[in-house]
Amino acid sequence: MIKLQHVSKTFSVGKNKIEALKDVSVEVNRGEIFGVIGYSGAGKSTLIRCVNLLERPTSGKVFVDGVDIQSLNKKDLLKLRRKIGMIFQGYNLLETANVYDNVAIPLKLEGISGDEIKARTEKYLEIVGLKDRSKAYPSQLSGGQKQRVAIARALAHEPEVLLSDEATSALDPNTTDSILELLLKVNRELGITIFLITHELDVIQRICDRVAVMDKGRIVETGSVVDVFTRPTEAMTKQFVHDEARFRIPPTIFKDLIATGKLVNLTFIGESAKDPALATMAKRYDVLPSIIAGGIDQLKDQSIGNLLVHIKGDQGKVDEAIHFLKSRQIVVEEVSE
Amino acid sequence: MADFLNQWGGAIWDGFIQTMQMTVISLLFSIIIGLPLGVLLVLTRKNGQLENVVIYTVVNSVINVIRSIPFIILLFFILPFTKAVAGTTIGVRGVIVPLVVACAPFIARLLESAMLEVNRGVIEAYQSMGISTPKIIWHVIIREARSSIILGLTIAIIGLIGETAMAGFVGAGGLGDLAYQFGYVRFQPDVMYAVIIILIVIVQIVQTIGNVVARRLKKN
Ligand SMILES: Nc1ncnc2c1ncn2[C@@H]1O[C@H](COP(=O)(O)OP(=O)(O)OP(=O)(O)O)[C@@H](O)[C@H]1O
Ligand SMILES: [Mg+2]
Repeated sequence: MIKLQHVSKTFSVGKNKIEALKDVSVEVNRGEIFGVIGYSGAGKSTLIRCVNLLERPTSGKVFVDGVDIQSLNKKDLLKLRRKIGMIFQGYNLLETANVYDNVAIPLKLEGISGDEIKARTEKYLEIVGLKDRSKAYPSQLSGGQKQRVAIARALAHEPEVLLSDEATSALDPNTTDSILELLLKVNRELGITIFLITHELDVIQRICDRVAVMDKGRIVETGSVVDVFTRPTEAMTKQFVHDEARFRIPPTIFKDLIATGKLVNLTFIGESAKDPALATMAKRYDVLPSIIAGGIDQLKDQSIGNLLVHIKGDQGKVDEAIHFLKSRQIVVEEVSE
Repeated sequence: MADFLNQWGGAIWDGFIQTMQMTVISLLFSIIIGLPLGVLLVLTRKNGQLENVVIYTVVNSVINVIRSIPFIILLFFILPFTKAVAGTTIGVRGVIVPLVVACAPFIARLLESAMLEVNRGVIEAYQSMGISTPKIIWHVIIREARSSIILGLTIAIIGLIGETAMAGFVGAGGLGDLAYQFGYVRFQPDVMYAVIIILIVIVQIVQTIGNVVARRLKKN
C-alpha cells in the first residue's frame, strides 16, 4: 500500500544541514494499522509527510499503491492526496466555519456535487458521533471533539489510507482512548489502512498491528507489536519499553532481593499466560519464587502479562529454574541493576 | 443654527458627498490592486508556497518606498503619472490616482500581515486533501484572515478619509477642502468646526462598523 525505499531528507537551515531522515525504508500493508514510535525530533513527522509529499524526500522513492508518487504531475498529485487522509496533533480546523462546514467545504473545493456533499458530511459526522454538534464552531468544542471533526473531514474524502501525525498527543488519557477506539473502528469497519506516528507507547500497544521504532532519523527496529515489545533487540526500543512498561524497584529493596537470589522479569504472551509455569518450576527445581510486582497490558489482539519475580534458592538450582522458564514460551529477562 | 444651515448646508453636503466618492472609489481600486499584491507577498516570501526572493524583494521594497512618502508630497510628485492614467490632474477624478497609489500598498501590507496570522497547519491540512493553491488562498487563508482584514481595512478607510482632505490642493473638493478654504483661508471658524464634527462622527461610525463586522466574522 505504502512503500518508502531508502528515503532521506536533509533540511538546510542557513549553513547547517539537518538530516531528518537517513535511508529510511518502511512498508505499510493494506488494511493494517502501522505505527512509528520515536522521541521528539526523531524525524517521525518528516517521515509521514513524505507519504503525501507535503515534504519532498531529498533522495529515495515513495510508492503508494505501486505508483512512484514523485513522478506524478501536479494534477495527479492532488488527486492522489485525496486518497490519503491526514489528521494532525493540532486538529487544523477552520476557526471561521462550523463543524458541518469544516467537513463540507473541502468536498466542495474538490468539486463534489451538492447532494453527495450533504450525504457524506452527515454520514461521517454520524460515524464520529458529532452529528448533533453540526452547528458548533471549533472554539466551542473540546480537543477530542475537534479531533473527531478532523477525522470526519479526512474520512469524507473516502480515502484508502489515513495518516495520523500525533493525533492523540494533545489529549488527556480518557479522550485518547476514545479517539483510539474510533481509529480502530475506522480501520475495521471501513477497511482504511492507518499509518500513524506517536511518541506514546500506549498508542502503539492499543491499536497497532506492526510498529517501527525510530531514532535520530533512522528506523532501528520493525516488526509486529508483540514481537518488538516483548523481545526488543535495540537499545532504543528497550528504552521505550522500560520507560513505560517495566517496574521500577527502589534501590534498597533491590539490594536485599539480589542478595538472596535472582530477580527476573517474565513476560507472558497470549496462551503462555495459562501455563502454570511458576508452580511447576518451584516444585521441580526446589526454588522459592515470590512475586514482587505484576501487571497486564492489553494489545490490539492479545494481552501481555508482566511479572517481576524473585527466585530464591541454590545458585545452581536457580539458574536451572530460569532455563526452564525460558523453554516455556515465556520471555525471561534477568534484572541486574 | 437655521441661518448657518441655510448658508452652509448645501456646501457641506456637497463636500460630504465628494469625500465619500473619493474614499469609496479609491478604496475599491486599492483593494483590487492591493489584494493581489498582498497575496503575492505571502506566496513569494521565504517558506511561502511559491517562494521567490526576487519578486518578494522587489514588491516589498516598492511598497516600502511608496509608504515612506507623505501623501501631500506624493500628490504632487506623481502628477505626470496621474495625468497619464486619469487624463486629468484635478477634480475628484484627478485625486483618485494618488489616493490609490498611497492606499494600495498599505492594503497589500495589511492583507499580508493578516494572512500570515493564519495557522499554517490549516493550510497544510487543505494541501493534504489535494486542494489547489488558488482555492486555498481564497477559501482558507482569506477566509480565516477575514476578521483581521476587516479591521485593517477599517484603518485604511480612516486613513483615506484623512488623505482626501488634502485633495483640495488639486481642486477635488470634499470636506477637508471646505474646512481649509472657508475655515482657514476666509476665516469662518464655524464651518471648520462643523466639518471637524462631521469627520469625527464619520470616523467613529466607520470604526464601530469595522469592529462589529470583524467580531461577527471571527466566530469565536
Ligand atoms: N522545515 C524544516 N526545516 C528545518 N528543519 C526541520 C524542518 N522540519 C523538521 N526539521 C528538523 O528535522 C528533525 C526531525 O523533525 P520532525 O518534526 O520530523 O521530528 P518528530 O519526530 O516529528 O518530532 P516531534 O515528536 O517533536 O514532532 C528535527 O531536528 C527538526 O528540527
Ligand atoms: Mg512531529
